[in-house]
Amino acid sequence: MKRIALMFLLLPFQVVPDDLNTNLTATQQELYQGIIQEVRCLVCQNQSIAESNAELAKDLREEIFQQVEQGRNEAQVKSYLQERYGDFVLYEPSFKQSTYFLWLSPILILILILGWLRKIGVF
Amino acid sequence: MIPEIGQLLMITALAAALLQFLIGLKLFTVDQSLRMILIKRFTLIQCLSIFLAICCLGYSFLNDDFSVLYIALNSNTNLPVPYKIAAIWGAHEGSLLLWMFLLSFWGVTLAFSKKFNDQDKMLKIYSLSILGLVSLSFILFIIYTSNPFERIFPMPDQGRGLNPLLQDPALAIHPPILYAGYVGLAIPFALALASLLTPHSSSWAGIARIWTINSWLFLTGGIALGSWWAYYELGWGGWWFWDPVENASLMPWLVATALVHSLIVTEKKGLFNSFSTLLAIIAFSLSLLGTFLVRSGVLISVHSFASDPERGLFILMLIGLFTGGALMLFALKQKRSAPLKLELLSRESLLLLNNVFLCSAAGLVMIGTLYPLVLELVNSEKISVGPPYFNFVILFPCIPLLIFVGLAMFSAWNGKGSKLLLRSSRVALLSILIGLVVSLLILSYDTPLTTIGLILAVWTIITGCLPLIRSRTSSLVKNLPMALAHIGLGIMVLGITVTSSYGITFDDTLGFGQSKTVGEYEFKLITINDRTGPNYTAKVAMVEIYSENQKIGTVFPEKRVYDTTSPSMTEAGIEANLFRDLFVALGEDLGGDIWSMHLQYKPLLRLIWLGPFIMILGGLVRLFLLKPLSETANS
Amino acid sequence: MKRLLPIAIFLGLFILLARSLFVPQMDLPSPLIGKQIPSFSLNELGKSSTVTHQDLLGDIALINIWATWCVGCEIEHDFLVELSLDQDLDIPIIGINWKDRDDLATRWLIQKGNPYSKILSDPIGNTAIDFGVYGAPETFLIDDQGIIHYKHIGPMDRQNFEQDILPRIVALRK
Repeated sequence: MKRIALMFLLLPFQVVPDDLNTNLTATQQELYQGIIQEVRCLVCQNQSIAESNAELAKDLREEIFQQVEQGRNEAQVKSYLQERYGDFVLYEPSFKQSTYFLWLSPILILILILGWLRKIGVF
Repeated sequence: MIPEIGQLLMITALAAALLQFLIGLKLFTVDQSLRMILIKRFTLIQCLSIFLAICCLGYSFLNDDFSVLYIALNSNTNLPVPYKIAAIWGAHEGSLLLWMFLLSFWGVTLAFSKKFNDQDKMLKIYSLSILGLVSLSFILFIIYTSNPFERIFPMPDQGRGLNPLLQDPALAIHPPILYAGYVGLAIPFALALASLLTPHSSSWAGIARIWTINSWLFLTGGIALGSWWAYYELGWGGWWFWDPVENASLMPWLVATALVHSLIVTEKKGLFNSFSTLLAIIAFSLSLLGTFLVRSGVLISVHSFASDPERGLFILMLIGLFTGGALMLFALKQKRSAPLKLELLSRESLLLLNNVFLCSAAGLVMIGTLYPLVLELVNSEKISVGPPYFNFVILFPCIPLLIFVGLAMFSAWNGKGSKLLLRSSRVALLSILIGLVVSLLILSYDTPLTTIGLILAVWTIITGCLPLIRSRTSSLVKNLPMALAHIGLGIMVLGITVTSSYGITFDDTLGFGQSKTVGEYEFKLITINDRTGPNYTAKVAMVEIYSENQKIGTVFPEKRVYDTTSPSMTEAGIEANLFRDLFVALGEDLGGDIWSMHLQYKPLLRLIWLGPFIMILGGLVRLFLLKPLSETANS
Repeated sequence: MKRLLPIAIFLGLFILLARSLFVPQMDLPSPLIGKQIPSFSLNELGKSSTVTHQDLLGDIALINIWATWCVGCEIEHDFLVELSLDQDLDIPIIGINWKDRDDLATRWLIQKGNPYSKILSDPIGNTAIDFGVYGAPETFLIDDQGIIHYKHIGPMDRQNFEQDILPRIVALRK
């Protein structure tokens, strides 16, 4: 047990200092990275724009970079993309009538499991 | 000439598979021992023919015989020899051939296995016969839709070359390992069906468990290797993308894991027989579904290297035949089991509960993967379901799963719940304490989820160690596989939690001599040079990494342009130890010796692959160290 | 009955997979349909004069996004020229030259003919992003108020023009 705790003590974790070199602060960089991983590259086969080297992906990365630099937040950037490219561009499906089942399925499955376990007599 | 011999060998294998299937049916009145001898022979002939066919293809690859279409498309004279061999399974046709070989190979190991008792002869014959039918359909599939020996005329002077993504040691061995896992699930599938046909035989579970562990090992290894490859080769430093192809391998893995546990109960206690049977059917069906998704191009993905509606249709028909047929047989023949009377927190219940959670995880992955298809057909709506969805919903089954995995270590067969809670409470409190201290005091507090993840990782690791601490030396080896598998799981959870909570990623521009600080590490771009490889040219950067002004390493990330294909490939520069990964990928040339760079600091990332490695060790101990033990115990 | 549940689930899945195999992949629907064209201010190709979105109002028109590096545009080009010469139809085609070089674009038009009544150049691709363009060629049908009525993805030809676009033009003119 001690060993596991020790391992953590040895790990160097620090808050990232703001760097003069970059245009984005650490928080903005985190926001930017988070967004580009959740935006689908439309001309690629199932890649986010973070992973893709396609021209469109580069353009969109650049656009998002600038918007984050200007201080826009995640929701604003995402709705900017959604207004132009539709739901398909976001890897996080929005919660609406046609995706109720998708989003509620984990809860639905949990309820089904409980019902089944009751029926076969575990409870 | 050689390709024609390969073709002939495929037809030999087809005939052998057909006979293997027919002999198992009770069409002819043949003596049972003769039937057994014949079916073993044909299993062996089938396997040898396919093996020799692969050798023929390999021979043609090594001799650059571009009159064979498959070779013209996937090789050229400049390809290094090891990759000419790996190119055998570098595209659709050849990888099916490999798949087929592994299937027939597993068939041979079953045919010549000594695990079967005398009263299980029919179980063996039926399962081999079913495997014969599976082989038969896949050989037909190869011959009709995906013949690797097809010739072209006129013969091109030069081949097109292997997909550069595949020119990498890890990815060269990744498909054989993953396929061995996929097709290995055909064995428990065949055994489960055979057990439905031979109602008096009860030992299928024990036999099926060995082969399930077998293919589980390969699946674990294959998935981990694929994730590792994606990490350093796709150039962006992610390790899991929830890509349909990854999901296609994750689903059978989850169900196979459930199957291993369910078979323990069926073997030892005679319970959950129909659950185990159903799981065996589902596990193999998911392997087939995976093949369908990858090969048909229904879900477009980075990994789909080949797609064709005709092939998709053929695989779909196979799914209909095997899954549909098996479920029918299950509905007709499965004995009605006596109503269960389980103690809520007995070992039986906990195993059942965990299997249900594993299956629901697989179910959620399936819903997420197929939902865009459904919506497009039903509603003409296009949506994407990706990492944000999966990372969220997978928590619903996984958090209770990890809690119960730990609890199960305190449980006894038919044990009482109150005792269990008493016994586990001390360890539970300890885990919570450690998790809280680590996440609040030692690390900086991130999110509640990070804290929960840390607590569960600690809980899983400690409870995984318990069987080793408590047991006497004699039963130490017996408990080792389970302990290792669970410790591995805990370590993986720890790695995932820490990496995703405390990792830092930076995209930035760097000029020569400039540096950039990520976390407490300083990345300094020294220079960028040109390099020429055997079949590509590359830009190679030299990046020095400093920690507290001490140089800790130099990495050389590359950007390669292969002669045959235009898009450039990234080779990341990685400086890693067990505690952290420092990752540098070269971006774009912005002119004036300024480049965009992708920099990452990922703490404990290695644990994500160390965990599966330890799980595999556990499985290996079970297969190779315990076998002699149990055999001596029997005699 | 309970035993049949797995079969029922399987059948549902099977039908889904079978249908998805035969129904061709749908084009990405554009969320801009029914909305005003995005605002922009771009240079005319090879000239210093700027054109804004307001200059496009007043006519039912096609907006075609193209580039010389785009293979689909080469396939489509002859049909565009043919369309521009069609006196009965008489529909202006406005070109947006996307992420391209002016000299290459001008040469291409001299060699292949110029079907466009106006050509705007979008070298950085910002306006294309506002139009939700992801792969050239893409063609938008707008009415005289600047409302987008239809988006065609990929090369246009006689067949898909007469099937998808022409009826909409006719309806708009009524």
